[in-house]
Amino acid sequence: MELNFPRNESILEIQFMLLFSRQGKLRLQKWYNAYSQKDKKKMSRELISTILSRRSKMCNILEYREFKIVYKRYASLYFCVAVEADDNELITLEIIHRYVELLDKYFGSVCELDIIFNFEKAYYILDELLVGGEIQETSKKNIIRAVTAQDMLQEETENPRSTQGVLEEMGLA
Amino acid sequence: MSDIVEKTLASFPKFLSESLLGGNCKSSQNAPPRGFQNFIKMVSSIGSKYDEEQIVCREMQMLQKALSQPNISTPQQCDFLSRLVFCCMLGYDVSFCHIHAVKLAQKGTGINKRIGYMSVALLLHEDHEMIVLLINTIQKDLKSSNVLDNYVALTAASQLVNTESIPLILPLVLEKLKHPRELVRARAAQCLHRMFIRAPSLLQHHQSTIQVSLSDRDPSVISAVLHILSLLIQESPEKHLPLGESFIQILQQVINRTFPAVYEYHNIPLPWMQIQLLRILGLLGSVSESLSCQMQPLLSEVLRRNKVRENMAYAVLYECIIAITSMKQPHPDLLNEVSTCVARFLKSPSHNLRYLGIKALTALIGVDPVYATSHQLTVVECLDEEDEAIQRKTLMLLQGIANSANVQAICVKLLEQVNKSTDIYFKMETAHRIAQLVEKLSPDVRWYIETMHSVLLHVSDSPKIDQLTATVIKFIENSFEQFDETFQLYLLVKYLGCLQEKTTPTPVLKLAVWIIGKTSQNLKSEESSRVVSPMVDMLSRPDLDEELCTLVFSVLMTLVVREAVSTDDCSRLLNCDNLPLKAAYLKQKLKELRQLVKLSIKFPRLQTGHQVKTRDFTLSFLDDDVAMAIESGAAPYRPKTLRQQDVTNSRLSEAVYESVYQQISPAKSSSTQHGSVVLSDLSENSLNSDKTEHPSQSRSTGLNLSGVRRVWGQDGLISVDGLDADGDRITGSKSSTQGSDGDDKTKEKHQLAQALFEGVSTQQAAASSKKSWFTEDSVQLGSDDQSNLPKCDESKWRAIHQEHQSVSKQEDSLPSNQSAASAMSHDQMSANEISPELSSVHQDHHSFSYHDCLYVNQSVDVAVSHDEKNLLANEISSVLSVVNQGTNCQWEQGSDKTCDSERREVWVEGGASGVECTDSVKVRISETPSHINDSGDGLHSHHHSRQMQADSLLSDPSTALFSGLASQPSGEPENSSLSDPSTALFSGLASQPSGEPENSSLSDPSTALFSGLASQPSGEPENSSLSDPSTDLFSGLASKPSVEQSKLLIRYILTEKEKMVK
Repeated sequence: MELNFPRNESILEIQFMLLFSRQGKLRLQKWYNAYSQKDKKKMSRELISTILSRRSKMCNILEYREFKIVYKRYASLYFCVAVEADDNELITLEIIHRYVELLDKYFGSVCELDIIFNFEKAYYILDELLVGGEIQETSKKNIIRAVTAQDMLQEETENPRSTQGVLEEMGLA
Repeated sequence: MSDIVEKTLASFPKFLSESLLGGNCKSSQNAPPRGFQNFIKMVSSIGSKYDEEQIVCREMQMLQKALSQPNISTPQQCDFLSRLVFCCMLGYDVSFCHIHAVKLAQKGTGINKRIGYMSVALLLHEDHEMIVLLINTIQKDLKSSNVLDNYVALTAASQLVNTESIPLILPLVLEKLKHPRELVRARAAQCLHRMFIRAPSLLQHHQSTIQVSLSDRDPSVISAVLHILSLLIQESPEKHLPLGESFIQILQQVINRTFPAVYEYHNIPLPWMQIQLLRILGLLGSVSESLSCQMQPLLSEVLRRNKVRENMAYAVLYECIIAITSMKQPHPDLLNEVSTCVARFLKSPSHNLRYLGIKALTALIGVDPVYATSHQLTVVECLDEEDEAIQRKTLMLLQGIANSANVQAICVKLLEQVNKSTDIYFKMETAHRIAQLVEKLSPDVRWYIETMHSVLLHVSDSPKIDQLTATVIKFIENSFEQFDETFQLYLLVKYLGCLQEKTTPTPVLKLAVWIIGKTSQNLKSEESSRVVSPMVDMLSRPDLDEELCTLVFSVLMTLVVREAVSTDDCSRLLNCDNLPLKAAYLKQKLKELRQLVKLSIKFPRLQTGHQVKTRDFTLSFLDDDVAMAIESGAAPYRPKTLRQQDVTNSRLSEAVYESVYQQISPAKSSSTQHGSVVLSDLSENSLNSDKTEHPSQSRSTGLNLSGVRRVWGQDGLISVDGLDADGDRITGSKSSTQGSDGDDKTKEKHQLAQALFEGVSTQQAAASSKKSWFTEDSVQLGSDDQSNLPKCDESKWRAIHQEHQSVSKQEDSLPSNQSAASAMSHDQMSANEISPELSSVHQDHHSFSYHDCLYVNQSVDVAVSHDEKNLLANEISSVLSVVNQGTNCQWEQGSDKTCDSERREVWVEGGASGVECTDSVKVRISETPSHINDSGDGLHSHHHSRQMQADSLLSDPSTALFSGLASQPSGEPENSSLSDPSTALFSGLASQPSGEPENSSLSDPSTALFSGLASQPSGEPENSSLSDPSTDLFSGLASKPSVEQSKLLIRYILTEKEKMVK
């Protein structure tokens, strides 16, 4: 039952984020505090089963251990975020929503498969939105820009000649 | 201009990616290489967990081999790592690839570097040992001229740099705050935020650099800087009040939409920054009145502007409400606005909003409970919500509005929840909340007992249940004297019932046993077997709780001594040999108890519950004994002035006495005023005054009761803020007008609401007159103090404990036995004086043995003049001489046992010298060292082992003490340095009382009895956390015996001794 809590007690707004499917398959996980692999596994398993068993009419908030879990379902995918117990849950819901919006904008109309097959992109976007567990106030455009710039860069490594000029023009290189 | 260019440029990539570079980002060109996709497809197509495991393991083995090949290309490496990250997500151990991820981050370029950093961030954590390898790379990338390298490195730094390496990276990151591109600037600020969370000490030095960025033109930079500053402000809001002005300005700009429209989210400008600003302003407003006045118009504007039906708007509203309620003295108008906003939350059909609404209401009633009344029905509905999250929050709200009028209804609700829930954490938390509530607001003791009883029954399987039992015991202990006979009888009957039920859980059993011991004088003789047999049954349980066992023994002893139970029953039940007692000390206790039962001595029937108003402080009753002692050769008393003390001793004693006199000066003054001192008052005084913090206060007033709520008066219960009958009626009529539907269900709800909000609306009714503030304040004050009381006690205990330790260290440094002994006794005395609990226990509960004369004497020290004290000490010392002779005589016989008694004697003398260090005592001590030296070697190992035993039993100090005492004392002065000084000290303290009666009747079977009894008081302080059996034992024996009674006992002891000598 005992958890190994992170060594230094840094106060983070968001402790971890999980994305999982309706079948309970984990699609994405991001931990902002250091937990052991075993704890991670245990917590995600417990959370997935609790959340999946909740009815749709219930509120999107539940208390779990010392955290507060805020989750939301988009199509077949559950987004689940753990925050400190006394945090503002609505904001957390909006963070989730914002993330979904960004994914949507980036992938066109996003679906679960997009996230499975481009999971590193999903991570990039998440990294833009949340730095060190704290939501960053920024425009959608900025985020997409930052992520796409990397796409460009990827192109660059694959066929350097064609995109080099564009990058230089943009002042990115 | 440059902005426009930048924006145009910024739109390029999307344009390019969609048109020039082959459509949208899902294109095959952008997607990771085949291997990864195939692997994922394979894994997702598998049905069973076993197959998945097979495939993943095979894949991982393959990847491990492939990654370790030297000629692997970077894109391949990326692909392999992506697969491994996926495996990691599936829950497999991929630690072998950590080094490859680090390598990729080091040597990769562009996107490959990014994948490398990302895999490191996903696979490792900041305190991982391999991060050190990455620091150099991050530094290099930060220095790079490539923007993306900078950017990627900053992201990595924010995720991966550990506390030790922060100073290496920090200067580079700070530099990036001045970078021309806002993306990098914002990321640098975000990275700094993360670093300062990890290493707050660094923040102080760079505050000015960071503050400059507050005027950045890019909102994301400002937002990140706000995060950093809020760290500082959380720590000390007072220091950053000057910044308040600029925060207000920024917020004003935000809500006036002066920032670019791209930063709007669902038509709300910069919502996250607003929230951050509101939090900061709330913090600042909580310390500064002027600033909170300044921000009030702005906050009210925020409230008005966020009226759209948008989740984000509600989130901002909620933050604004929290900020307003945390402010110092928010304006009533503003609070009314807040109240209407809360109503919007509560009336919303969305569960989430109602949840937040309950939270907001909880914050609002923190300012003034009156606001709860307008939402009563909603709250009651929320209570019946099927969603547990909302229910729990509502319960917390109820706790906030609890007062003496509605506490019963609220506790019933809370109990229901405890009953329903299966979550052990929640149950325990709620149980503690109930305990707090009922202790603070209980209108009636019987109700308190009933409630706590059911709470204990509900949560009896929780790990921290003992704390709860302890609070109940403490409560009963504190108010026991006010209980009348019928109530005691009620307690007895109730818990006798518990005792007989087979299913009663252990914590409740403990409480039951304790209460039966406490109220045993009401026990009728015909019930005796009903008491004894379940207790003995308990002892024979296989899953025996040792603490309970100890308690049972103590209580049984009490009962026997009080003759509350028939000895026949006891002996019949106890003499069965199949009691599964494993621990040695329990066996010892059993033996003692058997001896006690066998003993046919009629104990002097001591009156209980009899308050001693005056005491004979001259101890004239000892005159005969003293005369006798002097006749038989004891050294007469010499006044202090005639005595010589070695320098260390006198210095030590001076220091000790100084503190003693400081403590007792209030008592002194009162004694001169009234002529006689009521000791119980004295002890009460010392109990109530917090010595370490308010010495002056305790000196000036005889009895410090300010702030302590008086619940019990002479006539019985004093109702604190009284049930206001008028107020009740007001609520009644109010809710009845609201619920005019006539529907049964709503009626029920109204009733519930009425019950729950009773006192709150009473306050509302009175709120119009200024008086109500007064009463409310005083109630709050009282309740605050109440809740603080246990804390004070704790800290006091710690202080006492430290005192013990420090003194015992001192004692270690003293060379000879003699000085150690006297130092020890000094210590004991000072400890007694410093620990009011200890001395009060002694003063209140027992004076039945000779030893207790010493305590009486000590209390005399407190009250009477020096001369009288000397006189007393003389008497004591002469009594001692008799003791001495007795033991010397015993020692002649040379048995091991008498060696021990010898040691005991040293302790007795130590005790006497603690009372007044007379020469006569010293002489006696100086006679004894030779004996000690003789016996010391032989005994050394013996004592050592005993010490070990005491240590090992330290988890239950009282029992450790008992075992140490029951036969021989353990805390020899020269021995005390052996392992744990404090243990030695405690056992030393404990052995003192036990030593004396044992001396008095060495071969007498009552030895066991006396040692058992006498050891109890010293066990008391340690034991106070729970189950202090000693207290009830003593209340059983002689809770308030008169001087005559103690005299009687001393006589008895002395005659025994005389016999021994002869």
